[in-house]
Amino acid sequence: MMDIMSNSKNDIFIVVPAYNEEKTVSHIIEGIAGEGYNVILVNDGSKDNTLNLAIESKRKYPNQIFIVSHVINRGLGAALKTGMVVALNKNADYILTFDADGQHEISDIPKVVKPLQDGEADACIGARPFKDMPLSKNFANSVMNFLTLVFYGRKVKDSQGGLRAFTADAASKIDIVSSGYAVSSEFIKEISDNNLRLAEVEITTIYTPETQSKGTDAIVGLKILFKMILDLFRL
Amino acid sequence: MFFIIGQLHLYQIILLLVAIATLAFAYHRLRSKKSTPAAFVLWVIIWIFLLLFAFKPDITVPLAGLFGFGRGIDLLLIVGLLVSLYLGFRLYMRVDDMNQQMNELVREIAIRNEIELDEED
Repeated sequence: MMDIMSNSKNDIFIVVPAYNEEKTVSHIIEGIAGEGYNVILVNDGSKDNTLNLAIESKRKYPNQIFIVSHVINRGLGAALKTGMVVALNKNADYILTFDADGQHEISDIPKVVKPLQDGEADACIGARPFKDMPLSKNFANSVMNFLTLVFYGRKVKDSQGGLRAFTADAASKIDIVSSGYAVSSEFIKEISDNNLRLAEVEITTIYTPETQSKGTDAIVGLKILFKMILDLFRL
Repeated sequence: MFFIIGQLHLYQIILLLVAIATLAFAYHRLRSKKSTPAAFVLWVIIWIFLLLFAFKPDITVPLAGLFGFGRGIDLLLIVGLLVSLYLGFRLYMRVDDMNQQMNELVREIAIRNEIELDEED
């Protein structure tokens, strides 16, 4: 079932959504491309130098770094969907999502792809160990896991993690409508609704002031809850 | 009482003026084909009800009683609140739809304009 080709890195596309990430974007996309993977950078209407820096990176890896740019900021969910559409258009076999703020280790990429390559799962989510999180994030993420269980009926280790992997088939079935951070829970809903096999692997999370400033805190959590409730009315 | 003119309370006069202005506007929209006869009739009925509540509060009591309220004004407030909530929800859904459409638009523009390097480099 598995041949040599499906193990190569050039059919793996890493979608990196970036909104005002000039401090980290070059390091991350060049780091990923340097490992031999393809990168799809989705510049989500950044107001800083993110796009220009990404273009500079593309000069170094012209055949591995692909850049698309939202003319206005549309949110994490919209950017991820754009990146996944582009990856599918480029005939990716495996599509990963990778946060641009520097919280993920590039060395974790093979870990989340492996269950898919082994044919054990259709989707894999990198779970951040909660014990490593600052208390406020730990609490917010625990609540989100609980809400994900209540709303979408899936018990997961980390519903809000940004490092995910999908087979092309799974990615084409997943239909994301959330624009913002609610997308993380929506991925789980879609995995559940489409009866996809989900694997979870533990990954490293790097906490820096940059990675602290975005993501799931109490306010974002409340917004996600509000969206989840309203989504129940969406037909 | 300062705010009684003849037999009318100030709020009754204001309501009457607003009703006349709104209905005149609705009629104008109907005449210039910007609105349908059905919508116009709906506005007329709504305003007749409101004026009834304002000028003849007594006759609204049985109607309120039908719903378990003691006073016509209570029924009016609750109905008003429910209508506002419904409109707010509908508005939210509309905005959400437009957000989705905008996402699609921005996505399409992004994909069609994937960034290529200039050849001279």
